[in-house]
Amino acid sequence: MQPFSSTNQRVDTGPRESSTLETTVLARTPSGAFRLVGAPPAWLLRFIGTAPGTEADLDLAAASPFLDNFLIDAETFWARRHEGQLSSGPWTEVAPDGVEWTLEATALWLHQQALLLLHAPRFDLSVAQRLLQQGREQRLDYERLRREIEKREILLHCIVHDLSNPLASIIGCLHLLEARQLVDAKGQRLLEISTEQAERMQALTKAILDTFAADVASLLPSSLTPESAPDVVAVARTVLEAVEAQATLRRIRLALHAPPTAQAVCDTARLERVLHNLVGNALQHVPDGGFVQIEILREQDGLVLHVDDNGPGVPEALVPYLFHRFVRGPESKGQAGLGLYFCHMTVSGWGGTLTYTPRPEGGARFTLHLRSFRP
Amino acid sequence: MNSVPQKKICLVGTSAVGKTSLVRRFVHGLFSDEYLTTIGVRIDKKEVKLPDGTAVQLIVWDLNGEDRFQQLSMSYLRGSAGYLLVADGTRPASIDTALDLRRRIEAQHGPLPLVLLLNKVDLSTEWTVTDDRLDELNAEATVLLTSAKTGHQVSRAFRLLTEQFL
Repeated sequence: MQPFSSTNQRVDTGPRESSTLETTVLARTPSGAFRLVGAPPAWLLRFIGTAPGTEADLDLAAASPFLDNFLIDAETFWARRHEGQLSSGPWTEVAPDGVEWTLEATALWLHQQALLLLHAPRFDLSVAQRLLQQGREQRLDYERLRREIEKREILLHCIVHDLSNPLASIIGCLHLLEARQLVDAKGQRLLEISTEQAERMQALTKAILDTFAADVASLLPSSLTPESAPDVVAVARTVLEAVEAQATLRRIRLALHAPPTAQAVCDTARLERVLHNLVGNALQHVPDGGFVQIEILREQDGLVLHVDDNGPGVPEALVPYLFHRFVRGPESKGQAGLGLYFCHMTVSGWGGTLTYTPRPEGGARFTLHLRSFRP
Repeated sequence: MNSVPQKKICLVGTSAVGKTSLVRRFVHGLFSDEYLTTIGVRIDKKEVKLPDGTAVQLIVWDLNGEDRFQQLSMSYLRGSAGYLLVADGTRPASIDTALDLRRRIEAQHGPLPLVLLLNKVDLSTEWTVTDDRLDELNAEATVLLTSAKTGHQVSRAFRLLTEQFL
């Protein structure tokens, strides 16, 4: 006896069976019909809408559209004559008497005999439904939230973008005033300050626009492919070359330790910006004569990139908030505090991670884990 | 003896687009706001009469939604006269899933009559399908905007599909 309550969780549409179900065992005859093994359970007679004796051949395909379909797969399974089983999965169907049944069928090949079991679903359907529903509702909530964030980010993007256009005009005017020497010596200093502040504001605007773009991109499904994957080593080399002059002036040693080439889930433009951010931060904090290095290691599931320096490291109090928006270190005046936030969002968008650990010998270590493409 | 011919049709689409609600509205004339996910298959029957007087009994297979949690078994569509491809007009990704399902169904079973339903048209403030997108979809299939909640175009959808395969 297999206990089963076929009480369905749906809104009522009609009567449904709520008693327990015995498993029905049917043997397939050479003609393709089915013969009951043992006495017919009462529920089966109601389900198929007939009252056969145990000797009668049952035409299950005619009795149930679902079984009509499943028996095609079952015949293929039985024809293989391998011991094992094939499950139909649960289905719900209304019997001729108007009662709704939720059942599962299992095809068996046992002792050279094709058998069909009709029974209650093997797992508790209400539990499975609840778990599945929770997962799906969370997914729907996430989708709703994503659409809301997209809308908000796009609106903010538009506002900041609109502000950037008049700012560009102001900077243009200030440069003209300077080029045409339209201000006297006393005004010159004020002009320099105005230009400097306007350009700083322009840099902040650009950082905000870039970050919003990364926010939205990180929420969208990735379309990266192995064919479009960049050579991470080449990107790292480009970044270090770009800051070489700046490092040389301050006698800072730059180094790259990496295999000849390495690929991972990312895109060239944004990886370059992520590494620029990390290397730029390092250069800002290391003392003259210090070092900044990138190390790239292969791991089983991807790549690890360490960006190390021998500066003072991140203040301990700042570490928990390091990748939040608008977090700035004590020596980062005039910056938006979005650089590391952008890096974190971008790397997360690729399914990777970005973490910080202080180096035991002093200095900072930022570690990127980038996934490899699944074969 | 029932002489009305029987035809199997299926409802396919990603989860929570309203497949079960469309069937309930069509078969029982009911609607509930409560979302209850479908596991496996649910089969209902309903007789449809076309304007020319032809009657058909539809065997309606409401199939579990295809998403990251559950995959649709293509064998469920075997023997179908046609299918309703259901998407949620407030969730653009559900249309992409529907079109992907169509490609997979055609790869397995060949081209079958279908009607694409953009459901939940009653949620006008959340609707995301632009006229341009609708034109694109209309070029690919017969498209109807439906609402299981209000019943808008639900019966028409089933009738239109039936007319396609008869």
